[in-house]
Amino acid sequence: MALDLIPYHKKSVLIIEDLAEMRSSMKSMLSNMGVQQMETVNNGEEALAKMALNRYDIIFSDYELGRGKDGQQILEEVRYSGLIPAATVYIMVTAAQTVEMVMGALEYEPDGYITKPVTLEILRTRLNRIIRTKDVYREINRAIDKKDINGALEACNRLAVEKPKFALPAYRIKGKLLLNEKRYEEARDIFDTVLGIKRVAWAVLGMGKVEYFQGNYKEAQTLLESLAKTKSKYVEAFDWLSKVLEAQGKFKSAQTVLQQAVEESPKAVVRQQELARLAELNGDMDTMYKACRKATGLSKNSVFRNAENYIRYAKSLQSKVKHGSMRDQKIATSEAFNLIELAKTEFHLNLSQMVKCGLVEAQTLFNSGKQIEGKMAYRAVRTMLKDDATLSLDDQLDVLVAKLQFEDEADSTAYATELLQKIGTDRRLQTKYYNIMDFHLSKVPEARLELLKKRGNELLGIKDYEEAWDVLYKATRLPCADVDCQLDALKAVVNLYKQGDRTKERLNQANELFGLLQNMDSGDPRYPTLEKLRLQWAEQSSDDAQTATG
Amino acid sequence: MTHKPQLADQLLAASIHEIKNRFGLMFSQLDQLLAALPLDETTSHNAEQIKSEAEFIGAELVRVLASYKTLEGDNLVNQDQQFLLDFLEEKVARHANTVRAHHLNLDFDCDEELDGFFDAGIVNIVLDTAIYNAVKEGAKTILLSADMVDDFFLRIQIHDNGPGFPAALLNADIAQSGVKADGQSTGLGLYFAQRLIGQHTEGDKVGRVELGASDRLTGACVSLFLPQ
Repeated sequence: MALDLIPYHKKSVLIIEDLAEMRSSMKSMLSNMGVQQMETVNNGEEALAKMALNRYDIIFSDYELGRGKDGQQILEEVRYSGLIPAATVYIMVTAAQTVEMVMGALEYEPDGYITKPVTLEILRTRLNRIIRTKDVYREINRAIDKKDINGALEACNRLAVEKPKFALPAYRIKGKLLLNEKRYEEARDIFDTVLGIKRVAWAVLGMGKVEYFQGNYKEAQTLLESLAKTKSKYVEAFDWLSKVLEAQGKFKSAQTVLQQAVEESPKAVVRQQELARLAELNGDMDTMYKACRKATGLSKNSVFRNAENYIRYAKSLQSKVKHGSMRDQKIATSEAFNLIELAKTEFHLNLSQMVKCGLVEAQTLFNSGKQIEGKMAYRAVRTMLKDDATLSLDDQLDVLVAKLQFEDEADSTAYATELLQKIGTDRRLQTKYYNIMDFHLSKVPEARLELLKKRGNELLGIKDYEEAWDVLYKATRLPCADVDCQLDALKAVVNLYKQGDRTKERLNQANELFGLLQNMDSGDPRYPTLEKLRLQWAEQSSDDAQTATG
Repeated sequence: MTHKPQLADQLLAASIHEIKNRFGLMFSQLDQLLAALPLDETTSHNAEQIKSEAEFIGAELVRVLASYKTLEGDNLVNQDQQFLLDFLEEKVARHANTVRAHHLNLDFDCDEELDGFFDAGIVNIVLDTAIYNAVKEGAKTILLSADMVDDFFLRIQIHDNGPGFPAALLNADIAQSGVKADGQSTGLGLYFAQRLIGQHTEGDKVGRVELGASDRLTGACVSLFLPQ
């Protein structure tokens, strides 16, 4: 059979395998098959270095590589950076028990999988098959490697006609190429055709991307949500769903979706970086810190390193620098300085990045006890920044944080008021603003109460009872909490309950507030409001009682 | 059947998942250990049997989990294009240990051009179940075959040279009474196979499992019909 004619003696092979025994066993099996040029490495970093220098025909990568990068991460980095030509055969070697976990990467797929234990017989059968299949796409890959996209598209068409069995894979490559080329209408045609034949996952994902890029967010959301439900292992569906939600201004949901994806596969660098970015947008420092820490560890010596993540990480370390235990403070401080240094020396920063970096540096100095140095660093940033208008509102919120720390009350308050006006009706930025101010006022409970009441009232006004409750609940916990904030909090929780959030927790919270307000004088101007809430509450609870018995 | 899983069920599923992963790790360590040991012919055969049993347990856990997830109703099947030659070749290669441990003759037969749509994970599990059942019944030759049959169904068959199915099992409707079918694991495995394959749909057509006598070998034949 033609199978035996694969000229293995001409093929150069790279083996990525952390266990010495497995390495030598693979080598002896391959040499038994006629392979003469073989190199081995025992971790992802060495592998990437080798691939940057040499060209290999076949790469075997173990999936589970001990502590460092896993096989999928290496593959993603390799494909993302175009480190190996399309013609190279990339094979993932996995334990039989983990194969399900490994398969299902829609965007970065290897050419084939071989499951352990690898015997000569299995290796020969599988490798022959994989190479023979790869050969079907030879013309397409050759054109891709020459950056001749139209040539590649034509080769896809030819393959689909000449070998109908490979029509779908050919369309799949075509769809991917067209998306890369931003030729969305043509990509839509392809995915439409495929989905007309069969609802395959990659075509649903492809169509979801087309809808996203063309701004049809609702359609994209529907497609991606259905895919996310199909099989939880298609983590990429979550990535794109998160993008779609963000594009619609649903930042919190976008973050939640990404957090789910991160739980599924915590080792994907870009996903962790995205999560950190979203958490920063949402002002969720805790998630931002965790995601940054993961991302920094994972992106070490990789193409995914970037200044944004370093600066963000340093920023997220500030609460540790300021409030951590002695040991935490020490570690966090030196880590933050190290990150700032890396960002400055390894990257060419733009203005926004320089400002952020400078502000974080100033904060790190100040928070670690070097107040004077901190102030000087802050002044240096201010001179760099004559006009705030060049900064995004998110960056200006960072400036606000620094102002509250370094400038006198009058100046920073004026800046805050002005910024809040600029923010206008942007809900995300409003929330972020109030979180910053709330944190700033943590030592002044009376001022904090006023702030929370103001914000809670606004949120009640626009019927966002969930966030209103979050804000007003905080207010009711303050020692100086008053009847006004209790009544508003009650409004929020009763409405939440009405909207269907009927947890025991809500029930208890409402009852507690009714308890606190029970002695209100009937002559109090706020009494009618309380009565109205009591009535609504009674209706809701009796509804519940009925459904429970009926 | 799409009721929300109870906490106890979820706990069980999570626990099986954990056991499966730990087991996988243990198995690969065992494998390395056995490879490093100097074994004579007898001990080496014992080692093969241990490996085969370990794989069986691993496959069983995977099957239980997949059945659970499918029955839970949250996960729809993923019917993607598969090339049968590659698929069956891989299946046979993956059973190298079973073959060695039980002196089995395991082969496959299908047209080189044949392709079809199905959830590879699910069909893998069902094939494993059928293969292990056949081995348990003492089959020494097993043949996997695939072809396209009437009304656009892809048919995948597992033939063996064992004693064949008992009449009681053949006459019973596995979809209805499979769980009770003498309480044996063969019946249970087939019941879940039916449930899993039944998740494959195309238009009004639904996937099904049929039991019978093999027309290629002397024993039993399990046929999976997958709508295209």
